[in-house]
Amino acid sequence: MQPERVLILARRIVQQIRRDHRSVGLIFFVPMLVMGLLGFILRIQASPIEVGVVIEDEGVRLPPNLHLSAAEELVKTLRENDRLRVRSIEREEAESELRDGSLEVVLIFPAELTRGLLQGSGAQIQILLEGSNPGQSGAILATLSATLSQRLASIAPSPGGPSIFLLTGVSFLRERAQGTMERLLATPISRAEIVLGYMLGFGVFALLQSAVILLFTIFVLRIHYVGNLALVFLLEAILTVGAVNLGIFLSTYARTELQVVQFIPLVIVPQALLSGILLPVKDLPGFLQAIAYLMPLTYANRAMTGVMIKSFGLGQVAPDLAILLAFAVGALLLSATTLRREIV
Amino acid sequence: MAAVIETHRLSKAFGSLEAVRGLDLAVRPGEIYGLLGPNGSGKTTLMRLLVGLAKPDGGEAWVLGRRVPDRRLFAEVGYMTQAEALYPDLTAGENIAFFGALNGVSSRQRVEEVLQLVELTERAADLVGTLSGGLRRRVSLACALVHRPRLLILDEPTVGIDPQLRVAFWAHFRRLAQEGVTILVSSHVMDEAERCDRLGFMREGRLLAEGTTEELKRQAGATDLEQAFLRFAEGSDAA
Repeated sequence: MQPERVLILARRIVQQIRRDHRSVGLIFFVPMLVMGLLGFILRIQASPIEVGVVIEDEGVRLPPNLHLSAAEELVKTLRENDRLRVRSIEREEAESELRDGSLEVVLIFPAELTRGLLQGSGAQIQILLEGSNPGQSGAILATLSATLSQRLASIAPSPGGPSIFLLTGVSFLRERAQGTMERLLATPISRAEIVLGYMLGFGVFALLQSAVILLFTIFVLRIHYVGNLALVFLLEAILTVGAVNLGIFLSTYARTELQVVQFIPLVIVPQALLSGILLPVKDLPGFLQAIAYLMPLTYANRAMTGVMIKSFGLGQVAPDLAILLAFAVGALLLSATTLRREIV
Repeated sequence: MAAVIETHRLSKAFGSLEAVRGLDLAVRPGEIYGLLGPNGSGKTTLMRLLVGLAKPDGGEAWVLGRRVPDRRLFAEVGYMTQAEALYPDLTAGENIAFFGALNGVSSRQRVEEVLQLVELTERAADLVGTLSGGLRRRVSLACALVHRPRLLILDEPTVGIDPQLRVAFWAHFRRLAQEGVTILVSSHVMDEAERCDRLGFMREGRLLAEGTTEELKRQAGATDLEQAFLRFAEGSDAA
C-alpha cells in the first residue's frame, strides 16, 4: 500500500470532474433544488407534530357554577388544528417522551395560569423541546413552526448520495469501456489503492457538496439547527464510502452509462421513500418497516435527526454510526471482490 | 545471455476456448520480436499473460527473470493495448504524467521528453478527446514509454494509422531497441513484419514457426511472408 499512488489517482479524478463543468453544476445545484422542493412540500403536508400537554392549571371558579380554565381553552384550539396531534401527559413523562421521540413538543400550563392571566400578572406557558432550555418561552406557533422546519434539517445531507453513486458508477464503467482499467491494472497500483483513490477523489466532492447543502439549508431555507457539524460531516464521510463502493460494485452489472442511471429506481428511490425522510419509519406498515431497517439511509436519517435537532453527541449516535460503518465496509468488500475478478 | 521472455508449455483457456496452447517462446534482450497471426490466434492473450494481467492455466512464463504474474514487473514493462486506453477528458500531457506517476516516474522533464519523442510537444495541452486517431495512438505509445521500461509489449500498435505515422513508429521502435529495450510487437499486417528481428507465426494458440524473415521464407520455400504463413498453416492442418 503506497499512499502516493492513492493520491495520484484521487488527483486525477478531481481533475476530471473539475473539467466537466456541467457535472460540477449538477453536483451542487441539484441537491439545492431537491432540498428547496422538499422544504415546500414538508411545510405544506407534514405529518402531525406530536404535542404533549401538561395541564396543571387550576383555573378560576366563578360564581355561581362556572369553572374557567385558560389551559383547557387553549388545548381545545390546538386539538382543532389537524397539523398537531395533542395528548395529555404528566409532567414527569415529558422528558423521557421527548428523548425517545414519541413527542416533539411539550407545553406545560402552570397551576396559576388562568388566575395570572385574569390578574394581568403575566403567567407563562412553558415550552419544552428536546435539547432546548426548559425555561425558554415564546409564542407557541413560532415554536411549532420551528419544530416543523427542524425536520428539514435532518434530511439536509441526503440528496447528495445519488449523484456521488452515479458519478462513481459511470466513471468506473468508462474506465472499463475505454480500456484504461486494463492499463491501470498493468501499473504497480493495487486494487485496494484503486478503491481508496476513488473514495478519496469523490469524497472531496461529496464533502464539498454536503457543505453547500448545509449552508443552503441554514441560510436560504432558514432552518434552525443545534447539531455538531463535525459529527454531520463524519456521517457524510461514511455515507460517501458506501456510495462510492456501491457505484463501483453496481457498475460491473451495467454495460452502458444509461444502465447505471437505471439503477436509481432500484437503489435510490426505495431508500428515499422508506428511510423516514417523507414519513416517519414508525408510521409505515410492518413489512415496509422491516425493509426500511435493511437500508443504510434509514440509519443515516435517524442519526442525522438526532444530531441536527436533538444535538445528540457521538455517544448517542454511535449505534447508528456503527451500522452505517458496517454497510460501508460491506460495500467496500463487494467492490473489492468485483475488482479481483478483473484478472482472469 | 538470458532471455527476456521465456515460456514453457504456456496455456490459457477461457471456458472451452483454448486461447494459448502449450506455447514455447524465447525473446532475446534488445531484439524486436514480431508475433504474426490472424485475429483470434491468441496474440493478445499471450501478451496479457506476459504482462501479468491474466494467470496461466498451465505451463509457465518468465519475464525479466521473474515468473509471471508478478506485481514487481509492472514498473519494468510498458504495455500498449489494442484499445487506445486513454482518458479523453485529460490532456495528452496529463495522461502521460498520470501513467508515469503510477509507475513511479513523476518528473515533468521525462513527460516533456516522451512528448518530444512522439512529436506531440505542441499538442500536449490539448484534451485527448479532441485529438485525431493517429495522435491518440502517439499519446498511447508515450504512456507505455514514459517510465523507461526495459521491455515493451505492444499489441497491434499500428492498426488504423496512416503510413507516415507507421514509418515513424517503427523508427521509434528501432531506436529503442538500439538503446537496449526489448520489444514484443503483434501485428496481422505482413509487410510490417519485415522490420522485426525475428518473427513468430501464431495460429490457434500455437507457435507454428519462428525465425528471421529470410529463414521463414526459406523453410517454407515461399517468395513472401504471406505465402510462407499460409504454407505453415496448411502444414499444421495436415498434421
